[in-house]
Amino acid sequence: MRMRLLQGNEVVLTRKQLYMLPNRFGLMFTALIFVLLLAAINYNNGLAFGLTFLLASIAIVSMVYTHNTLSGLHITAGPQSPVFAGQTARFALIIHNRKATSRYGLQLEYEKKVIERFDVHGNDFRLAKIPVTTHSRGWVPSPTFCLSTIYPFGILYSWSRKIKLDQRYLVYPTPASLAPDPPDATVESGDTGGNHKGQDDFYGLRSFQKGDSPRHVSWKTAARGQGMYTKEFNGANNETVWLDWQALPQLDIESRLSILCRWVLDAESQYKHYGLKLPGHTIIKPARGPEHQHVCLKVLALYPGHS
Amino acid sequence: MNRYPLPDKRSFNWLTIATLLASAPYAFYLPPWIFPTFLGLLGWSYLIERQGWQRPGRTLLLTLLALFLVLVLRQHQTVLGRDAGLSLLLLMFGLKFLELKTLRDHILLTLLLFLLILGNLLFSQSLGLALHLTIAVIACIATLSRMALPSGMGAITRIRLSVGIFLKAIPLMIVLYLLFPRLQGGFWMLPGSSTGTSGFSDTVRLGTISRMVKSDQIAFRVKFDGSVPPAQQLYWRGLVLNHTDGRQWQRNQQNVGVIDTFTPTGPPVRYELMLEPTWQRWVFALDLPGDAPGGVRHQPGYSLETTALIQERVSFKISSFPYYRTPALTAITRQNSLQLPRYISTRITKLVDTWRRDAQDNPQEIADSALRYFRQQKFYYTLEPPLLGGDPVDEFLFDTRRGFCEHFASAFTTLMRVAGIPARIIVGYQGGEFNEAGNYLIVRQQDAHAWSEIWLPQSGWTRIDPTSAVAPERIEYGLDAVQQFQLQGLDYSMLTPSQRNQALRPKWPIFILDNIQRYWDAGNVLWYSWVLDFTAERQRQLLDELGFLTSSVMNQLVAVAGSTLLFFALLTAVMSRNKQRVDNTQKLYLQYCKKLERVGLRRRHNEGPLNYMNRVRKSRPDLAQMAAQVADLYIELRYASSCNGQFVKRFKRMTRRFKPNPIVGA
Repeated sequence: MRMRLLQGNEVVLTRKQLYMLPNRFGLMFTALIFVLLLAAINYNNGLAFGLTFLLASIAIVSMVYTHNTLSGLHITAGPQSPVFAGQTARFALIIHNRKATSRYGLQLEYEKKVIERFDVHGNDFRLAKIPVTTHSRGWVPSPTFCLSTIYPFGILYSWSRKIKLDQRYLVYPTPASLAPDPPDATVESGDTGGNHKGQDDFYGLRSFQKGDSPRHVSWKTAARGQGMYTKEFNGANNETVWLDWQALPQLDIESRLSILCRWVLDAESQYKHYGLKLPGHTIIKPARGPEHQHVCLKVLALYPGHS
Repeated sequence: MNRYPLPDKRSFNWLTIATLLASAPYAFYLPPWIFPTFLGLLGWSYLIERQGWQRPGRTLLLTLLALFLVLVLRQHQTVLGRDAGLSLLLLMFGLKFLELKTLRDHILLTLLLFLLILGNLLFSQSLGLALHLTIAVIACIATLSRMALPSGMGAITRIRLSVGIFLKAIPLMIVLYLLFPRLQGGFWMLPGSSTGTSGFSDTVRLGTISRMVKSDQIAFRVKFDGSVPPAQQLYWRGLVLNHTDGRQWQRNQQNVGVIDTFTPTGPPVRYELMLEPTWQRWVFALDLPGDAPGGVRHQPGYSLETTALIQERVSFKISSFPYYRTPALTAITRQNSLQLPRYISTRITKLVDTWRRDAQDNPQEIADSALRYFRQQKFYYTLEPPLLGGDPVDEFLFDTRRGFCEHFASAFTTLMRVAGIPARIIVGYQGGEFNEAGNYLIVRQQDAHAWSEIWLPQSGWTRIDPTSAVAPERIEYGLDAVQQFQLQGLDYSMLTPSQRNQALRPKWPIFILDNIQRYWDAGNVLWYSWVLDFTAERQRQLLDELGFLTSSVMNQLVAVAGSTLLFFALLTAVMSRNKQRVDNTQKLYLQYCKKLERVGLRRRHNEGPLNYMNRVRKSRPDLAQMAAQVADLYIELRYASSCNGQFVKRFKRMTRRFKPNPIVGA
């Protein structure tokens, strides 16, 4: 029987979506009960019968506990932050316990591995993240995962059907590590000076973000073990640079996107104004800031031609 | 992340505590070196886990295992059997503790703990042990939960969870216990080891019984179908002793196989006798037992014996006839009942001759003369009789005159035989203490007694208790009463019945203790009848009463499956009742919103705490600070899941004290 995926914006786990079987410790427990039963029969020992039946009853009662741990959980997608292809995306889930009793020993499973164990208190929620390796740019659908538990005694394993939320996340192109210099900046505000000028005036340090050019990493602080920082420069506030597809004529699509991506990041980190020109009249006017960077990268991520 | 969580130091602690609880009773049951060795192994594993000692290598472990095997073999000559097997199990368990590494090791050991718990039950199934093991079982399942889920659950919550599951499991356990078909056990019988014996042996020497009565150990309990017969009839017949050499009395082995008959002359008394293990065969029935129940056979002299040694508590349904007439004696019985030691002193023969002359050889009157002699000649009933020499009966009758029941019985029997009246000694118990809590009679070792039987032509064997001539209070009230009267310096024969009762009424601390003891014993009896004595036969009886058409194994298995499913359905229904309560923090927040609503700041239906706070701040700057604090704390409590008690308290205080002023800017 192939299990049907659970899909939707919000998935609520009910009896129909949950399965339960004894795990290997459960099989050991069953064997133990049989051994105890044999001993009780052999010695005709009333209390040994009692002990045997007690353990069997405990196993049966614990089935209800195991089931209730998963039953009634609400699962929705959390806020997703985009990553660059090749990086590990962290797909965020919100697991909401709407009952007043705490649920212990929940397990998040992805690709047949337990990737996180957590408890959710009564009327509380929990943010969990699934690390997903990304390979290519564009929209990526939610990973297929499931929730499971071995609560309360580790002898019963209950798991949900595979869940795939209606939520996709964006993967930017991989920023090229070796990129040609961007096209010459046109200085719109009338300032003269090359595009390198901006790198002269050291402005300060900010913490390292993914996609920052390795050229700008403050390796000194990193070597001192103080963490990764990126140097910021403010020399070129008024420079405007057009990042143009046509500037890279002899390369294939993905490489061009990769280089454009690198240029966007560099321009942003150098506090330049930058605009994007792609074939097919896609033009993004020059601007600056995280919003603008996202718009540019998104366009690059979704550029057609990707298999 | 691993498929299963990794064990940590705390899980070792849980396992250790559960192990100690499950294995502690072995300290009493196994040879004395086993349990300390086991503790030593646990201590060693503690040093490994906590002090970073090196784990022993395989070679060392195997050497230790071989050593233990040899030691156990030397002790028991076998490695099978209850004692040897459990000794080995315990020691191997200790060795396994030394190589605890993976979660699998931990869980395996926790599961094996249940085997150790079961092992205890092969030694005893007492109520006390069961209560102890209940705690051990709860500790074991809590440990199992700790192994499988080292999550944020605290120890108290975990124990509460385990107790909760345990309690919910009880009803199903009881149903399974009653319904599950009891098969005839014993695929392989393992030799146990005999423990100490108590009670009678088949030879009675002067002093045997006075030693026995110093124990208040329970010999047996009796549940009567009707009312309890009067004390004068409570003679629990054990062994019939015929043969004497002047110092001790023994059973006669010659007429084994001869079954004596009698004619009842009154209605029977029916009762259930629950014998404690004696490692003997005697069954103590009231005079005179009728048909022998299953597993019991008649012995010469109207006594009963089991076919197998009594190694655990057993019970029998017996009918006895207190009024009876026995037929004429066979020649061999007559001969045995007149046997005398080689030497009889002239003082004795002279005394008996005077009685015979006075009574003109009427046996009844001769017996009366003897009893009168005991009464009139300052004989004294005592627990500490003086030591007697080579001719004890003579010395007792004429010199010391201080004795216990066996002195009186053996002297009386000897006198009767000298007079030519067939006589014998019966040993057994007399009386018993009635337990109102359980409505049954407890007979203890201190009720051990010896009396005589003489054969009279009119009635046949007739019971004569010479002790009653000297110490009627012994028969009426029991041995404790004799000591009570002696301690208080009271003369029993001078007291009225109410004075006697007054003297015997226990003083209050003892009174309470007595009552506790009584209830504990009653609990034990109930326990016994449902746990130890719940045999296949009793199960059938019960199921018939409950109305199962036929209590076949198949039907019972169907009933087991059905009731398990029913139980499961009920439990699921009860436990999944919608417990969707608003939690405390939310309740407090809603009260706070209500207060604001009263001053005209109603929270919109889907307004989050921050938006609401901002609105409050704008329209009521005077409340801004308070609103900000409440919102901050609420967000912290609700969404940061920092369940800090201090925060909750502060939030409670804050919202309770919040009293917004209705007039803006006043």
